[in-house]
Amino acid sequence: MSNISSIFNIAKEALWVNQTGINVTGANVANVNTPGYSRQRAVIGTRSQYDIPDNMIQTGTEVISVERLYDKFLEFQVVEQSDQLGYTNARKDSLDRIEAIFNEANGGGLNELLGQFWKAWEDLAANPSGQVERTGLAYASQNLAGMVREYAGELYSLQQELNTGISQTVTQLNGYLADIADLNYKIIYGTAGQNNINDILDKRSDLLKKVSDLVDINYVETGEGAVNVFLSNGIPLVEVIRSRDLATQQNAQGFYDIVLADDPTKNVTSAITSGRLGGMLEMRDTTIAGYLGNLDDLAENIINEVNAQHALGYDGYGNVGGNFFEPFNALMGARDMQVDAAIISDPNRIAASSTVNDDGENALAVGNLKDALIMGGTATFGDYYGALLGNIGQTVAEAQRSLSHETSVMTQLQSQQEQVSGVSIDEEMMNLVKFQLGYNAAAKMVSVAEQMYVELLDMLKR
Amino acid sequence: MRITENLKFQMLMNTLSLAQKNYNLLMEKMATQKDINRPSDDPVGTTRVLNYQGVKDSIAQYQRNIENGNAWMEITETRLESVQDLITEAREAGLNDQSSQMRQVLAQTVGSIIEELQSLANSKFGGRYLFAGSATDTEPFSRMILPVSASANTFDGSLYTGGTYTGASDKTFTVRVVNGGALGAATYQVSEDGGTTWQPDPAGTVPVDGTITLGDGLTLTFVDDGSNPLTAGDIFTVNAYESGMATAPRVDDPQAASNNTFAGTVALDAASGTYAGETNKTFVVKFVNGGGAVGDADYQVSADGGKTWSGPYAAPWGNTITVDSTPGHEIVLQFTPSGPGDDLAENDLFYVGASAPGNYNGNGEDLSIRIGKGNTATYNISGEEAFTDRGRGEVDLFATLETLKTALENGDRDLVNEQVNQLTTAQDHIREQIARVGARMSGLNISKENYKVLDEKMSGLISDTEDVDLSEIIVEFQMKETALRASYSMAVEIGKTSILDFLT
Repeated sequence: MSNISSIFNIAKEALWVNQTGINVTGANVANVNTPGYSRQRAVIGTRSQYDIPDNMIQTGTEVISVERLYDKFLEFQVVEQSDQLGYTNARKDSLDRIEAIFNEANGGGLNELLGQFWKAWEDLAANPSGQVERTGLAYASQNLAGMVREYAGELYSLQQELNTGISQTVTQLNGYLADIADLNYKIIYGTAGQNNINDILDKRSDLLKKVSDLVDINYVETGEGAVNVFLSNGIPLVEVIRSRDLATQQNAQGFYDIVLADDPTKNVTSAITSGRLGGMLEMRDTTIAGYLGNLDDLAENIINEVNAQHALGYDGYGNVGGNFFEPFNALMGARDMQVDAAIISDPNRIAASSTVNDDGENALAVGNLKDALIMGGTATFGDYYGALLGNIGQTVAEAQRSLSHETSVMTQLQSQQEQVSGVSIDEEMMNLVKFQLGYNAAAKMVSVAEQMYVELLDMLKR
Repeated sequence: MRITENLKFQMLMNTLSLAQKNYNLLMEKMATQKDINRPSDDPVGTTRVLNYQGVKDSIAQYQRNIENGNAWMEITETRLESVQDLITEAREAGLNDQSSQMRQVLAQTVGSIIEELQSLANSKFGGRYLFAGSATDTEPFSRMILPVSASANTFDGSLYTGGTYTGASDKTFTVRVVNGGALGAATYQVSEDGGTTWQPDPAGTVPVDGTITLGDGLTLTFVDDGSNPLTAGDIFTVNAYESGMATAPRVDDPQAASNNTFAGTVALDAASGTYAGETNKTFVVKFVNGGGAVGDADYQVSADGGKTWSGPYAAPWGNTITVDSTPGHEIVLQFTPSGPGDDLAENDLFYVGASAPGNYNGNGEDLSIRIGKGNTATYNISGEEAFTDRGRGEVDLFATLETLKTALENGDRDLVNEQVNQLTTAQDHIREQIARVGARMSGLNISKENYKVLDEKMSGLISDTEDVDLSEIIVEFQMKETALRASYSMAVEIGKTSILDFLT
């Protein structure tokens, strides 16, 4: 025989379950715009009670858990994709700056100044004793050297900025790793204590994405709920509740290498090939270093070839031609391309003549260097610079393409994740209506049971 | 598919930013009118534009060079044509009636022709002498003080004037041989007044070196070639002009480059002779191998102003260096240090100009301009070639005219005829030069026309690669604008619609 009190009991459970449902809906609605939030769902199940005196089963209800709707496999893919995106973003940022340095489209670039330099030599050849032509050449060559210095200087300071950025990024990364270890601790003890740790899990997922944005990592989840994070070469960065810091150390070129903080002899720079940090390292050590090398090459050859031809001629005072440019400085490279001080202070020191009689033949011979295949024996100075510019353009275009590709992959993954974990207001509103209905029905049950009691007691009074 | 709020707004954002991006790209293209605004817009195109631009710059340079060359040659042509007219005038003077009064007038005509010719030959263009060869800063011609041998003379050696004329006005010196004989034996007398009075009296003896003193700083040198010696009655005339130039070959004072370490003096050694070369030259001595003390430093010698070098030679014993070793006409430089330790350093440079007989101070070198890749064109005619009998020249025009003038003054009919014939040859030669200038100019003009076409083609190629097609881009711009507007209104509409509107 059933009893009325068990009706109360069931109604009470139903009220509580529906209220929880509304609470969870409320949490979802409240977090509709929270980044990284995974929607939650009250998992509702039946609860059976065995009624001993009546020998029958009462079926009630209960909230088994508040579940976080989440796809671990998608999370893994998003984390993987983050390092690709971080890498392409870092490259794109630097390459955009490089492209701005080398912009020839609006005139006044290195190519134009190189052209003016050769033109000045030819003008001088046409009028070797002309002071205007000599001064013009002195200015044109200072402009050229100044622009080479400026390009190389800007590349160099970009390299230095990246170096500083690398050190800052390592600090940032260490913070994230420590946070992950901390969250691991909370998750392990929270799980043991049966607490709701959904928001902590969301935070940790977010951190994993942030770490992966900085550096390429692998991670595994342990049985107790912690994640262990490894560098791509297997060196652990987070082990359960302990994180391992990275540090920077200056190398022979004056740049930062990345090492383990607890073992500075362990250089892990080469293990970092992706993520923002990987992108910055590549830009600093390969791409920019390469372009600087090209500029050095160009400057060195211009200096050496012009100086060699200049030394074959005679200046306005009958002297053997001295240095036209200051000799190439192997340490500073293109950053220190300078017209010789003697030429600047007295343009008559330009050796325009092939004899002591002030003809223009040597200026013509220097002018002829314009078309000489000097760079690698196959390219003129102009060709070489054009190829460098084309190469930069090509690299930037490639970085743009891969950024838009990686971004669209990420968008795709995120929208898949969003489909699983995101909050839909439509859905939540329908749930709200549903739980409200359930709550109302349960309340009705209470009032029916109450009436039943009243009826029963009234019966006794009669 | 589960559409969540975030997804919905994310999709809207993506659509909007894509529409914005396209719109902005087109805005930039419209503003700059260029398809390529940075290398990454079209890396291949960028490189190509740079190459085209390089070619275009070169073409502009070639065109400018050609214009300069053409202007130079046009002036050269007019000047040479004026010279032709002057020669014609001089020839007419030579062929004219030669009564004694007439002759003096004709001689004066020829005199003014010489002056005019000199100013033509010293013409400048853009501050540079047209007819000085590559020494464009040097005034090429000065008035010549020329000794003229009468046509009746037996003596057939050559004559040079030397020294610097210090007289106050133009003057004629007449030299007559009193007793014939070889140099060192013959005797002579000089008259400064057209043969009225003669000095010295008694007659002086011609020295063995052939050089006699005329007066006012001038000397006359007889060079006996060994066939017909000086004979009694031989008459020689020398017309001396203020600021005129003696005809003897000469060697200038040695010059030192300003950068030299050596602080001592360099002078022509007493062993030096006159210059025996055919054309004007600049000899250069350059010290090499780290230099060293005088008499100890290795050196190189150049006979073409420093273009090509012979040597290096080990230092000779002593402090002299021979730059020209023609027997009897050596040019020897003597180095005197200012004190102990005044050494010669590597690249210390000394040069000395040597001129062949006559009044030409320039050289016979070509001036050239670049008219194409590895392609140069000569644009000058040197004074040596046009007006002297040295190098590529045929007739010494100034000497011929001076001789004609003297011959007219002296009534030496044969000599006049001889000079008229020379003038005819000179005229033919100059006509040749004019034809050469014309041919070069038409060659350059063809190149110029070709470059004009090529330049247009290059501009076309550059424009094809980097310029936008405006009509196309405007249509596209309008399309993108429509798309952007549609995206905006769609975003607003979708954002507004919600289930909440329907829940009561």
